[in-house]
Amino acid sequence: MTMRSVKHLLLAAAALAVTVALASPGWAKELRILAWQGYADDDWVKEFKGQCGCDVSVVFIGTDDEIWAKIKGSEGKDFDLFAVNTAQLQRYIDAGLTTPIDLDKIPNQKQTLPRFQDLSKVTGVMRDGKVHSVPYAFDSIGIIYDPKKVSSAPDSMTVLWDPKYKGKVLDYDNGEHNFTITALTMGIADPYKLTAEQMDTAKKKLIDLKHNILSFYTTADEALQLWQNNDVAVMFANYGQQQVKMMKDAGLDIVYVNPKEGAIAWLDTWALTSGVRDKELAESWINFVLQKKIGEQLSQRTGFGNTVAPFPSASDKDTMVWLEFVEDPTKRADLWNEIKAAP
Amino acid sequence: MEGRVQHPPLLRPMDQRDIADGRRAVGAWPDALLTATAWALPTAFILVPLLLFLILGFFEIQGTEIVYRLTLKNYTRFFTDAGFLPTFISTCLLGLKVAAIAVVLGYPIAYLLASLRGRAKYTVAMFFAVPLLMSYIIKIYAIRSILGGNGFLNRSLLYLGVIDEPWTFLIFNLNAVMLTLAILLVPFAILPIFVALERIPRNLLEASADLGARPLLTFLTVILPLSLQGVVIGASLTFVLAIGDYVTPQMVGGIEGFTFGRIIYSQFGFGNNWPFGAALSVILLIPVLMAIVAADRAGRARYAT
Amino acid sequence: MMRLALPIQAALWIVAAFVLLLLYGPLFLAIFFSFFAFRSNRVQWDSFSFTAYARLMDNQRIIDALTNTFVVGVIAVALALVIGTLLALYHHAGRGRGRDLLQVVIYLPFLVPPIVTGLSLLIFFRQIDFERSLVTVVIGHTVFVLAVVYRNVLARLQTVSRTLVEASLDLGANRWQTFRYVLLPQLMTALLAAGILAFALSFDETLITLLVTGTKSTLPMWLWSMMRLGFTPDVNALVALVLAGTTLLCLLATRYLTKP
Repeated sequence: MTMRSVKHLLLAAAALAVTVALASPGWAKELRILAWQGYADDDWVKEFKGQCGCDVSVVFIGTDDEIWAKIKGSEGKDFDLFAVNTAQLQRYIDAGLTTPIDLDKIPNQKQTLPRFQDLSKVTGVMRDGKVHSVPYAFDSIGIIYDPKKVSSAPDSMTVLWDPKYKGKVLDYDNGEHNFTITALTMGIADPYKLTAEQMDTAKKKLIDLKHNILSFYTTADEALQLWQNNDVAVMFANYGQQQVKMMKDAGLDIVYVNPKEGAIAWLDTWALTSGVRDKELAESWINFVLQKKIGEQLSQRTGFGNTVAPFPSASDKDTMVWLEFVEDPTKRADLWNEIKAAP
Repeated sequence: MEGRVQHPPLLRPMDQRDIADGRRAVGAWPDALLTATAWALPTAFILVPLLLFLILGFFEIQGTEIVYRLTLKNYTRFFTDAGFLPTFISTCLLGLKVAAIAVVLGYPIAYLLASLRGRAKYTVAMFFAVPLLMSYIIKIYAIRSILGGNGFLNRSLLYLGVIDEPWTFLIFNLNAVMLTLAILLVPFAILPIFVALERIPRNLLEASADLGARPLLTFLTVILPLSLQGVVIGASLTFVLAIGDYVTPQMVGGIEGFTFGRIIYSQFGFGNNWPFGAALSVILLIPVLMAIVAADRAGRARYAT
Repeated sequence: MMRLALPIQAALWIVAAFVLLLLYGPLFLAIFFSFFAFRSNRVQWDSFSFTAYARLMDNQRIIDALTNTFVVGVIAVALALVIGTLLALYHHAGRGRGRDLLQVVIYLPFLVPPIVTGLSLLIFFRQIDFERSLVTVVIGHTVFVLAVVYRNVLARLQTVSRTLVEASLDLGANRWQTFRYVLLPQLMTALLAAGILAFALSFDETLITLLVTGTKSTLPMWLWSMMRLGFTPDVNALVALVLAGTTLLCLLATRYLTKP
């Protein structure tokens, strides 16, 4: 039994060593980030580590839901910094999961594009005079059209209703967004908080829209496939630049434009958790990524807009209507089902 | 005389405890320490966390926080609100279909494996097990691109002239979910059936042949019944994995392929209703536990000792 | 097990080939695109290259993720095998309500949606102030695959002849020796099958891992997060390498562990 005991002992020791290795926290300063792919690329992290002499760990998630589950489940303790869009940010602030940011520690915020200079104008990032997150990346929902089939460049979502293109239009299958763009074409100031009558009017218009389209789509590749296999002239581009890139890569000749009445756009921001260990370190990361060169790389690599360097996807003249939680998602979803079912 | 006699491990002198113990069925378990060890991990890391969480099903949400007031609201809502019960039923049906396909495809393969000799048996078996170790996200992506309107399958069929227009019914609906899940889960069905077939004593088969039974009869009366346990285990495993899945429906289900797993998942995200999600998970446990019980029933009896 | 008539063998092989096609088709597609580029809706047949593989070697994050996945898998499966066998023996040795309850408890983490298992563990760890790290991931995986191991071992145990064990005890062996020399050999195939299934489940486990991990990533987490931007070519290279590596390992295992 002795050889075996020695083996067992060695195994136990190895197990213990591995456990210790797995569990040991870093002894140096550490920044823990929870983000989307593309927001904390390897080369940026390396450079930041060199500058701050600290350790940086990044965990990438796949959906918004996971961010909430992880941050709420750990009561903000597992990460210092996380990426969140302005609509969802409200929920985190309500639940006390964020720490207000000291803009003085982020001088690069002063060099951002005009649209993002005054944070009180960016819906959602401030609450009670305190800044809860800093804008970083965005993309808009606009119109993609085939310049050979559409004579004059469209500038509004109303082109989707244009009878000239009947049967050549693609619409995104989602109630919330469709109501929002319809509200914007109706000139309603706050398309995210519609009254019952406004919703009724929008519903009638959407039924009209339905009669003008070829098909709905859910994913970007589905849209691509529909476009390639059918005679399509114009599309509600829910996936913005991602769709543009995909279609251009597929060899299609298309043009993207943001509607003049305002384009729905999501805005991703950096926020500090309530459990942030080193607030200044986290703020220095935000300052670091707000450099022009990083913003440019972000846009080049992902196609999303950034907040510091100009990029073709959104010019300063475009109006962005940052995404917010709608007044009643269930009602919009139910009405959408009725619209789809209407003859 | 030599010194102390060295007894080989199996034949050392008995002591009183062994005599009393040995009489019991398989080997007694009187040791309190061993009992405690057995219960330690399950209690600490399963019972406590899960119970604490599933109990949330009896509370409700207000704003973003949970209000700790006992209520059956979440459970009644499942039955009263439209959409939940039908999706639940269609998901269970989906699970059954996937399990059926997996078993129907898996049984012949397990049978083939069991009929191979020596090393070939394990080598071929291994080829069916290896895909399990490959990331299923990659597989779903690949399957999605294969089944799509512009995908590999359609393109090949069009090229070969088998069809004139691409098949669009294979993607972004429940069919796609069912097919994808079946492809992903078939190996899970093969393994238990294979193990069950392997366990059938050869002498039973020889006896059957000696008694004059033709191969088909031997199959129907000896092999099939004895391998049924493996079939039930494989089917129940596939069923459980299929109905809880939400990744596949999300990726290939489109709008029509909406399953119960997605509803539950959304409660922990956008829906932000953990109590409701907990209640729905408990409800989902019912068909799942039924599948397990069925599998266990199939496992008892059968073997004379 | 039995000899099969030729036509039946042929039919079975056809089904097997079909299923193999279904199983490997998606994988081969991914591997194909690790060598060729896909531009303008067409395969670029002249673009054959190994650059994806070179990029993979440089991608430290993916390599770390892969390593973490293996480490977690091996440890979790080892733990699950030991604890699962212990629990199966415990269950098999007696009767009583306690044992039925234990069985349900063991199955729970596998049966409830992974988000529930993951979230409940995360909240629990937070409440007892247990730092999130790969250790918590191992714990999460162990409780998740425990059910599979337990079930397989118990099923096998139930077919072991009781007289054999009684005889062993009668002859003077103690419980450990009976286990080691009588039961364990009989459980080997079940343990092997359970181990493989458990490892496969752990290797792919995304959601529980994502929720209970601290700052480390595993491969499934990494792949899951690529959904938003799309897979980079080095991921396809990774698929190819993992497939090659796994196949090689299994071939070696069958060569050295089985008789011809």
